Amino acid sequence: MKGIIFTEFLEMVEQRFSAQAMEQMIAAAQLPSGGAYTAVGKYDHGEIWRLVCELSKVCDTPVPELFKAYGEYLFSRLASNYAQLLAAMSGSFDVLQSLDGVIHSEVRRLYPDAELPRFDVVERSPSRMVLVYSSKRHFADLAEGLIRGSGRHFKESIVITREQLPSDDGNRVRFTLTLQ
Amino acid sequence: MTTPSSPLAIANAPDEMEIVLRRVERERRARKQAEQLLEHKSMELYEANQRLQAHAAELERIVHERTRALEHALGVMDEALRAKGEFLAVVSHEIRTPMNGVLGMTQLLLMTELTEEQRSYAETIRSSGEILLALINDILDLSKLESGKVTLDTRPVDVRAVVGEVTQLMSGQAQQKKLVLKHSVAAEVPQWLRGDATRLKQIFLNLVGNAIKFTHRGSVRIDVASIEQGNWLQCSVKDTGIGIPPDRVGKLFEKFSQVDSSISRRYGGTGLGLAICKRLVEGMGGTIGVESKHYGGSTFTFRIPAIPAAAPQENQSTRSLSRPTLADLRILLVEDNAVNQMLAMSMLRKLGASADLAQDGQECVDKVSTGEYHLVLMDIQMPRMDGVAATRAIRQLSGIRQPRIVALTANAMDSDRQACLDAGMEDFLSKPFQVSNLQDRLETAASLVKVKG
Repeated sequence: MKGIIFTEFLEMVEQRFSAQAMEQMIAAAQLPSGGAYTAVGKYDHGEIWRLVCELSKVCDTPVPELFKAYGEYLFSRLASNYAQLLAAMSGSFDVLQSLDGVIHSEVRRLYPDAELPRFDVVERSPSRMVLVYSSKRHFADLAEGLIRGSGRHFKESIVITREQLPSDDGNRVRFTLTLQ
Repeated sequence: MTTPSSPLAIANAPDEMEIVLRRVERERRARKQAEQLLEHKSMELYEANQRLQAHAAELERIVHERTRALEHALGVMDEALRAKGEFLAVVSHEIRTPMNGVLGMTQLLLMTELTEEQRSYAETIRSSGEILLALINDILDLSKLESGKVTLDTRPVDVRAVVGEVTQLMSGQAQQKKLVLKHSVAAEVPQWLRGDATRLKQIFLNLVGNAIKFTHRGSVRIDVASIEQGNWLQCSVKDTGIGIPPDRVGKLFEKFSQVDSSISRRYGGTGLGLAICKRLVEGMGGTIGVESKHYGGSTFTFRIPAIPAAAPQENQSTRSLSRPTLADLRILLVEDNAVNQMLAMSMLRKLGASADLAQDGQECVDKVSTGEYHLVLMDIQMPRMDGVAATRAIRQLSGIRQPRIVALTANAMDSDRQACLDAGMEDFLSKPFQVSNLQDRLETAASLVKVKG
């Protein structure tokens, strides 16, 4: 998993909670990397689970909620770092539509070894979009958070419903987005 | 450090100092990781760069190689073109020499008493021979134009005189078909323009000849105007003939292109005329085109740059002296070919002149060194000593009367003519020649003799 997912997460924890809480979380998670992350590095995705689980204990919030909150935060950070990518997009549906084709292909060009989830758009109308998230990891909550972040970025009001789909390996989730 | 059961117990909460220390340690490790990654990426970049450079060098090598191959191919092609031109010149020379005999003898035959039937046969030989000669000339002309060997004159040209001459030359053909042939040159066209009168006339003759050929009733007219503030001369030849189908207009100016193959059977012609016109007009820096309606007449128009010129200086006074008698002229004919000897001698007799004969260049030099000749009619290609060498030898003779030397050449290439001039000859007579051309040369020589005394 890309280092930026970790560095941004630590940033968020420090901002929303405290430096002390962050240190406690890191210490409790007993991470192989010791919590020393660099944005351009690559780390085991299990570490983010451990961190979120520890944070969940600190603030008494369920893990899925934390992932969603982090997704929203992460989107705002990516949006400011990669403003030029978003400039051409008119709304969340555009962003989601172009994830696999445009954004992920750019990511692959920079990081050939990146393991990226898939977002297949199965239906799209001006007010409704259905897409299927498939990944070897279980980050559907993070994905939902990112979608929320995108909605907030474009000042949209989106109702998201989720449905778990059967899958041989990993995780498949159908998101149905309705624009209010 | 912390117990797994209660990792966030207040007792174990790190104090501020510890937070800072841990943090510094983490940042330091993260920095080292980042540095390693950066180093790795730098190496990757460096290697990619090396590969790109090698690739660029390889591409450059390929481009270089291909360029060399192309240059080589171009050289081979140039050589082939040159060989083709040479071949054409040689073949045309070889054909012209016997044609000289055929046409000349026919001309002499026609001057004798003949029955109506014999005269008609002889006329057919003459006209067929002339068509053949025209074809050879066209092929030679086009091959010279294509090899870029043609240098166009930039001497003052009287456009009105050219157009007038063309009209006069073609009026016979037009009358035979009961066509009206008219010309007009707009008043604003300057009298003298820079150009090549001979080539301009050739273009007009070609276009007017075509127009007459393809018109059965009505008229052919030549119009010359000055356009675009006098920067261009626009010349058009308009007929009321059978016109050209639209799908054939585009190919008209290509070699051996006639509207359809039945045309050549019905109307004759080589299909080279318009190709030659196009090359000539383009050589003059102009363009040529046609507007035509099938069965509704055609208008061929060409535009060439109009550069005004000063009137040439008159220098023809020697020609207007009293008519010299050709019988007094001492002429030496230098010719190795028996048919040509007979032909030239007969023509000279018809003109009331006579000549001595030399069989080759060496004999010619021996005879001329006596100093008694006014005029040498010099063949070029001869055994022992050729015409050019003989001329050089004569010009080096001192203490004798230097004769006027006229080349009799079947070589129509400009380069050959230049070689003749450089050797010291004054004029040429292209074989096969007409009695009138020969007469012209004799009279010039005679008039000069009179002037010199």
